[in-house]
Amino acid sequence: MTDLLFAGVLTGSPHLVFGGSVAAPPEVLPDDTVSIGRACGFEAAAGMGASLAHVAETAQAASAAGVNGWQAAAPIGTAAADLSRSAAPVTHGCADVASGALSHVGHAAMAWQSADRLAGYGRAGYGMAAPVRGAAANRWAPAASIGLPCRHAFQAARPAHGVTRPRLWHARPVDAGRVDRQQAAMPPPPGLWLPSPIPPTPPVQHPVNLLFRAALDHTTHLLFGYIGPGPVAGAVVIPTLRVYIVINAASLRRVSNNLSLPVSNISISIDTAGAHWTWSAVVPLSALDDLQPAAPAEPVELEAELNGLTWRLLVERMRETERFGSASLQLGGRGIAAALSEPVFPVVSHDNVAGALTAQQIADLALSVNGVPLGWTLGWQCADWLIPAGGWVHTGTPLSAIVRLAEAAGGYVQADRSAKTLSVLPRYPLAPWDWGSATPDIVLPASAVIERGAEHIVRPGYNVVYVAGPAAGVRARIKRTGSAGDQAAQMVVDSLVTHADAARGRGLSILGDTGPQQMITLETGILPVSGIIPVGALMDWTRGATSRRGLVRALAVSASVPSGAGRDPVRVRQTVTVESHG
Amino acid sequence: MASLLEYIRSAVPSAPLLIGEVVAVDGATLRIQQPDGSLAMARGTATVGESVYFRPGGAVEGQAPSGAFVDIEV
Repeated sequence: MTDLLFAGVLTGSPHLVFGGSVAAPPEVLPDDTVSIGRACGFEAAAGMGASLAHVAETAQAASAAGVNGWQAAAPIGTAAADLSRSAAPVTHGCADVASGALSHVGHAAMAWQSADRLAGYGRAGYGMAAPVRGAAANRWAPAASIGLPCRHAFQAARPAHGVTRPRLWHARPVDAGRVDRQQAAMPPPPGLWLPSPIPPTPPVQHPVNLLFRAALDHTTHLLFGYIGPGPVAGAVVIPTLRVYIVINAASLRRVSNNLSLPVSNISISIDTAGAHWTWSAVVPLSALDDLQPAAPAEPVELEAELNGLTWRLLVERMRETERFGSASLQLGGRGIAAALSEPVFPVVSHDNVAGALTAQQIADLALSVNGVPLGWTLGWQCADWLIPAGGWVHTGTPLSAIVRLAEAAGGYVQADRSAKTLSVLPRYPLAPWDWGSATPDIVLPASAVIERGAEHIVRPGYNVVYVAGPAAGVRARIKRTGSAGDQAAQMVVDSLVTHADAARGRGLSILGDTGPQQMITLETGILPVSGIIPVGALMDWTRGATSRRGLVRALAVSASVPSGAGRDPVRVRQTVTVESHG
Repeated sequence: MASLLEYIRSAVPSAPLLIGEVVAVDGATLRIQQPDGSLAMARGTATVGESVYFRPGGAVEGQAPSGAFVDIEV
C-alpha cells in the first residue's frame, strides 16, 4: 500500500504533481511470499520505475515543453505495466534493481510517482507471475526487449488505420453507383400515362410509277419514262398578314478570290425578251483594283446574294464617277450566260446537214464544241419537233442558236440565276382563255404588295393565224377555239416550222398576245415563303374576294445597302410584271 | 434593255416574208392573195396561180410549195 502524497510544489501549471514519501517503502520479510511478491513486484516496478523515472523525467521534460509530452508518456506506462507483470517472478534480480530504483526515489517527485503507479500494475501482474516464480532473472532482459517491439507494434498499428480508411474511401463510388441505380429505378410519378398511338402510315397521294420504257441506248443509264399528266404542284399562297417581317441582306463578292465588295446599290432583272440576267451595281471607286481581270479579256465573275438567293454575274462595263466628297464605280453586265454570247463566245456555224435532229438535240449540240460539252445543261419545256436534215443552218453563238429554236416554236429562253442551266419555256404554257381552269403557281395578296401599277393595253383581237414552214415543212392554220377565225393575224413563215407541234406553239404565242390586256407591276419583298417570283409563273393577285390572274413576264430585283453611318436598313425588293388579260 | 429593244422592233415597220398565190399579173407587179384572203402587192415575175414567197410592198423571193393548210385549234 503506497500513499500518494501531493507533495509537489505548486508551480502554477495545470499538472497534478505528486510526491513520494521520504520514508523508504515498507520492509518486506523474506518469508512473506505475498509480501515478497509484492515487494518484488514493487521493486521490479520500482526498477521499472527507475527506468521509467527516466521516462518520467523525459515526460516531465516533455511536460515542461507542453502537456502533449506528458500524454505521450502514458502508453509507455501501460506497456510498463506489462513489463512489471513479466518482471514479477524475478525476485532477486529485482532487489538490485529496486535498490537502484530506491536511489532514484529522492531524485524527483515525478520519478517516484511513476514508480508508484507502476507498482499498482505490479500488483495486478503478481497473480500471473506467481506460477513462474522460479524463472531466471535473465527473462527480465528479454521481457524488456520484448516490450520495445510491443511499443513499436502499438505505434505501428496506427498506419494500419490509415490503410483501412482508403478502403472505405474506395467504397464510396460504389455507394454513389447504388444511388444512381436507385434513381434509375425510381417508380413512375403519380399520374396517368397512356401510350401514344402509333400514327397510321399516310397513304401515298400521288404515286409515281417508274416505267423503264425508254429505248435501249447501249449505255448504263437508267432511263425512266412517265405516262400521264404532268405533276400538279400546289400553289404557293402568301398569307394575308398585317405585318410581313423580312430580314433583308445584300452582298456582292468576287468569285475568283471570294473578295467581298462594298456594294451600295444593286439591281438585277430578266424578262421574256432576253435570255440573260442584266444587272447594275454601285461600289466605291476604291474597289476598282479589286475588279481587274486576272488575264486580259477574261471576264470578272461576281456573285450577288440577296436574301439568301445568289446570282452569278459577269462584269461587262465599268464607269467611274468622281464628285466632291464622293467617288463611285458603276458596274454592269449580264449573268454568266453571257459566256455563251458575244463578245465572250465567238460566232460559229451550226447545222444539221448530217441528219435529221429534233430541236432539243440541235440545242444540245449547240452547247458543245466539236462534241465537247461547254458545261451547260438545257431544260427544254417547250414543244420539240423533228427538223429534217439540212433544215437547220445557223450562224451565231450557242445562245442565239437556242433562242432561235425556241422562237420557232413560240418559246423563249431563260438563264438560271447561278447555275449553268438554260430553260426553254413556252410563251403561253396555257392559252389565256384557259387560265381560269388552271392552278396558279403563286398567290400574292394585296396586303403583301408595296406598290402596284397597271398599264392598260388594247391589242387586236386576232383569232386565227397562218403559219407556214419551208417546202418540206408544214402549213397550218391555227385558230382560237370557239372563235369564228375571221380575224387573222399576220402570217408567219419560218423555215424551222417543219412540224405541227412547232406550228401550234408558234400560233399560240401569237393568238395569246391579243385583245385587251393589263401589264400589272407589283412590288413586294422577297418573302421567305415565296422567294422570288420567276418569269413564266402563273400567279394570282388577290384583293379581298377579287383576284386577277396572269403570267409573270419580267422580274426585277433591287437592293439598297446604306452606308455605315446611316441607320436605314437594307432594302431588298422585287418587282414583277404580270401579263393579265381581260 | 431587252424590253426596249423589243419595243423598237415593234415600232419599226417591217416587211415579213409571206406566202401567197398570185392572182393577177400587171407587168412586173403582182397581186398576191394570202391564205386568209387578203391581197398584197409585190414586184417580181410569176404566173397566175403560182404560190410564191413575197414581202408585202417588196418583191417576190421565190416559188413556195403549194398545198392546203392544216387546221389547228388552240
